[in-house]
Amino acid sequence: MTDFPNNLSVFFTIWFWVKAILVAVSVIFLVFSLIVWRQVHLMSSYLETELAPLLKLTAVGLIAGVALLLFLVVVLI
Amino acid sequence: MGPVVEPKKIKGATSVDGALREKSGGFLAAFAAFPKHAKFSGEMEDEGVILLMRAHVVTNIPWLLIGLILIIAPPLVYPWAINLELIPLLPSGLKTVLTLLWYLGVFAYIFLNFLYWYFNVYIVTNERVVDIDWYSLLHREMSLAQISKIQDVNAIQVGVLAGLFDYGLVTIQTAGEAPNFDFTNVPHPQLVVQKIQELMQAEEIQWEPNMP
Repeated sequence: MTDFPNNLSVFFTIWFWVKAILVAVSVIFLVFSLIVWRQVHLMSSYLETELAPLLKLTAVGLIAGVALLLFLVVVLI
Repeated sequence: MGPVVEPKKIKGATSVDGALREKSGGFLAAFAAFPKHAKFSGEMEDEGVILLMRAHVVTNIPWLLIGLILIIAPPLVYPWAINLELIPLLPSGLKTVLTLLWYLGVFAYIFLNFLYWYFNVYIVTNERVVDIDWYSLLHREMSLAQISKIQDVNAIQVGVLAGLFDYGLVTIQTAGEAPNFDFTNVPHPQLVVQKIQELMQAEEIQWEPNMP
């Protein structure tokens, strides 16, 4: 029983750092996906093809996925 | 999309257009002859795209394999690592988040590789050769040279895969300060060389009457 407060403290320290790292990774990933989205637009301006709208949509999908990840990190953990 | 301009008729040269059309694929192909919907930045009014090329599809196998391994790895590795007690049993919330993070990362990896393959293109028009290169998210390069500036064009095929799938390097040497071009791993390099030579001959014929 004497170890309990100490264990709880370790648990919350680990939990805090896991959450902090995951939030940081998700934010970096979100910035990265925004750069990818910008890149797709830039690439499509250099070469217009039939596939360009689909690729732009995919880049938006990536941003949405990462935003969901960030939301889940905040809510679930 | 602008109107599609038919390339100039070439006099006095053997046409390879039939062979080019025969080898041409769809919008996801690495080799497209006279593509209807392709238009590049800086394309002129009277210019028509004759060839739109990318690296051969076979050259994508390494990153596709890596992507496949990364996709199937978690369901195989995680239970094994739990059994061997290499990692602790994760809470369901953390497991969900880590799984999503992993697959988003894999998706981004595959998507980026596809983008680099799809937008790294080599274009031959009736006026110019164009090389659009994307090296990274922050580094791109676009080189252009007039057909009339081209001095020599060669095809090099090295390796078993290149011979088997008919792809290789097309080197284009240009006069003056115009950059030299390397069309790396393009399908049907001999046909590309023939077409560029045909265009070079057409340019010479066009300029001959004006010569003293």
